[in-house]
Amino acid sequence: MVRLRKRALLPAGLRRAVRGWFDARYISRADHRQDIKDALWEVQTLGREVTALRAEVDKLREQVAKTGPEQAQVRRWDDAHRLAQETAVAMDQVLQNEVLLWQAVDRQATDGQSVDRQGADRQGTDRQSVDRQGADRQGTDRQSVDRQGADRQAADRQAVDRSSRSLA
Amino acid sequence: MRVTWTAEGAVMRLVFRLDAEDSITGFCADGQPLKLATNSFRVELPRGPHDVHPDLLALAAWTVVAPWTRRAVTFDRPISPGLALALQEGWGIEAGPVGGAPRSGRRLAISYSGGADSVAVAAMLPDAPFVHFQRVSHPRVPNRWTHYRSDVLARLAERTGRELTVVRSDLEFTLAEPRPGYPEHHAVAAGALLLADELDLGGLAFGYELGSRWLGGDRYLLRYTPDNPMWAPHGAWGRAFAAAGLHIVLPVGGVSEAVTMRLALGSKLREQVRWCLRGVDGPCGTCGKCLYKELIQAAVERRPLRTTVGPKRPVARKWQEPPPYGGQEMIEYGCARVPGVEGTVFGRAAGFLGATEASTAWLDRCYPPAIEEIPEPWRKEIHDFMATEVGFMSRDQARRVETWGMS
Repeated sequence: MVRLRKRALLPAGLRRAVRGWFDARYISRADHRQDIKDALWEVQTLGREVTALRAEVDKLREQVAKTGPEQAQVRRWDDAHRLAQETAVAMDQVLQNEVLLWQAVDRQATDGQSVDRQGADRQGTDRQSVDRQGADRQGTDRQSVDRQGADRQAADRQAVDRSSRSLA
Repeated sequence: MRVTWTAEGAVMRLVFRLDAEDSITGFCADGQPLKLATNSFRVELPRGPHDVHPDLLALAAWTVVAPWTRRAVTFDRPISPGLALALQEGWGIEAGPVGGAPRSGRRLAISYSGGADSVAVAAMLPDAPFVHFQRVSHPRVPNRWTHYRSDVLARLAERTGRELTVVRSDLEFTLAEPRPGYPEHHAVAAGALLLADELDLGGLAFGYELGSRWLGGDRYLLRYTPDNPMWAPHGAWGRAFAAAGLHIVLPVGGVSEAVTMRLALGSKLREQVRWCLRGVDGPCGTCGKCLYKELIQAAVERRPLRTTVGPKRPVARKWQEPPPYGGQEMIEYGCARVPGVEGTVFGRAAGFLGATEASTAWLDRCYPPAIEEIPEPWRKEIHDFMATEVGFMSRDQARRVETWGMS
């Protein structure tokens, strides 16, 4: 344009017309100004919204923190978990001990019998020990269907008696 | 060891008592030390009571009490001389009383777990009935393993539409250490043993594959084991089952887990395949077994590994260390075939193993001696299936099996 102005002397009217024609192809200064204003307004609105959302997030975070378990509660849960584990391990031991106890009982019973009987035939001893097993099972197995509740209790007592004798 | 069965309707209960020389710690046939938890268990059959042959009762009991028996076992009914001999020769155990007649049966059932291996067996034997073992809690042992979803597996087994018997049992809780499980691997067959007369069973098909039968896989020796005491027909357990008239049959004993995976995923039961014991609506995707099986599946499907498990997770730790691994042949197979395995949790293992497709090609074929040892009545059907669907190993490939773990 500058060069054009220097090189060719255009009549003012024509120049204005050409300029006007060029300018018409672009957005006007006023429109630019308005656009910038609008954009600024939008940015400010968004800024306000972000601030509001942040506040809400903080509020929700606080709520979550509040609804979460208290330290004391967590400690109690941990404690219960530890206790459950230890009880289960202890229970394993008890069950194993019970098996060993019956082993000792049986050994004692077999020894006693073989001394008593002085060479009674082995088949007979086996038969008896199998029968006794059946009776003892009632004692061993507290979960079994209770067919004769009172008898079972008696058997339990007997079983305990027997085991304490053999341990003595 | 003295064992006593009692029947209450369809529920069979067993109580066993240790002899003086028996102890709480015993050994599984694979050498694993086991600690006894308690001395009773039950097996719930779907119908009953049955008149079960004493040999079947004795062997079912033996699958549980064997680890803790040192010198003698006394059953509550006389067993056949053949079974007593098998126990004598297999374990050096004096078994009695002796006096019964042997039994036999005609049909072949599948011990169906729902995993890829047993689904592959099911695909091979489309008419064989299923017997599924379902773990239930033991009334005397606190169940600390409720993540084991045996109910989900039982439901999946029902959805197969096959002839199915679900046997529920708490026998796994007789084992305290290392954790509840089958005292002997064969305890999974306890229900099938008790049902063998009713179903007229002469054989029981397991999903044990090449690795378990021939390569000493899992927690066993990790080398070629033609005389595997658990699964060889001439091994202690094979002879005991044969003596009770229920032959151990391993239809997929000659093929690797890659082949069973391919057969299972290509079978009608594809939707019911589930190797994960934890997941409910699908495999959990985070346990060690899911990770291992994902490697095999990715290799079979020739795709990258799909897992969220990272190398720091406990289930992935062993793959960061050098071999040997249990099931190493399948790790080699997977590492050789999964694209981009270097960037996965198996990357380090792949580096250690340096396996190639050529070096693992033998795992896509069937080892012929595995077919030869299948009992005669069922051999042809399994042989023909292998010939058409899988193909047999060449002499050189078979040598890979026979030198496994020796170099």
